[in-house]
Amino acid sequence: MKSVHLSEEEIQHYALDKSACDTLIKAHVNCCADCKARIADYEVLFIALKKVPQPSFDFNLAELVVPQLPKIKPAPSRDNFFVYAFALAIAALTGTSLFYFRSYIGTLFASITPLLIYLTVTTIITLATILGVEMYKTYKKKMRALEFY
Amino acid sequence: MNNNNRHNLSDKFLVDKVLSGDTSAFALIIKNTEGLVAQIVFKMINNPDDRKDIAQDIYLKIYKNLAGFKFGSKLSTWIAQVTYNTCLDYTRKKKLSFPGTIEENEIDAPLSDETDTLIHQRELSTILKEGIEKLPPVYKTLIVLYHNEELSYEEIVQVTGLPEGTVKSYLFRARKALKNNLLLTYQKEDI
Repeated sequence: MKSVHLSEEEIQHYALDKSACDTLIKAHVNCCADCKARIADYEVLFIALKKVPQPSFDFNLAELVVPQLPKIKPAPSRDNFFVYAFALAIAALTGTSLFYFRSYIGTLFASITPLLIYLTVTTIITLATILGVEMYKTYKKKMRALEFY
Repeated sequence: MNNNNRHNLSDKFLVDKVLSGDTSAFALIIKNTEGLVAQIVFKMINNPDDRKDIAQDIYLKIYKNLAGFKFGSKLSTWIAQVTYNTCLDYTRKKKLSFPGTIEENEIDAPLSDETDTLIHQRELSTILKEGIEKLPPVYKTLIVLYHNEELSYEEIVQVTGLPEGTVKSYLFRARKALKNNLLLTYQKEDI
């Protein structure tokens, strides 16, 4: 058992968490009315502290803040990562194929007439444009539905 | 599922909603945390008009930096940290001194036997409130964070950026000052 009275720090510690205190300290408190009384002062203080009325703002903070919020740019989703990775894989595959078969490319179009090539290219560009415009319109419509804009 | 995980899940849900553009989720975050923010602001800022501006400034900062919140702590702890730092910046700009010193009222004789009966002479919470107001702002803040908001030492360290030893030392001095102030008031009333 501790023969001297507990320090102020030990008294606070005991009042806050008796179970975490050393057995020597506990034994001293059991026999010392003076230390018991000092601990009781702190116990009263700690209980009273929890009962002190909490301050609150006398205005509606959410109503004041929300109208001032700037637009947050939505964080890029993980889907974008997969789209870019897929596009990169396709580009790499196409590039590799073109590199290995480059000697055949020159002869590939030799038998096709220039008019047919012109018509094919025009058709591809027209179709790609129409599909692109349609995709963009659908995208805008979905974004409006999600109220991002 | 422990309490911390539950907190993190609901925090993550709310933060994701805000980041996808849902301002009502941010209003909910304000409602959930304004009590804690008020505790810190009221303890560190004396001018009521300044409190209104600072409270708005705090939440605008939180909104702008929300994407950078990595869930290393509870959302409320991070908000308390932003609040504390904003108040500290304000007081530095106003050139108010920190952390300040505590007026020591040494009381040697313990009075606890009479404590319960003496409480009735004057409302204890009123005396305590006055006692807390006499403390320097940082001490007041630490007292409310630990005893009212029940934050752990570790969380208080995160909020204030003070070393754990300093937090414990300030809390020790603040509690001692409050107890002495309480006992001194009782002694005066007893006379």
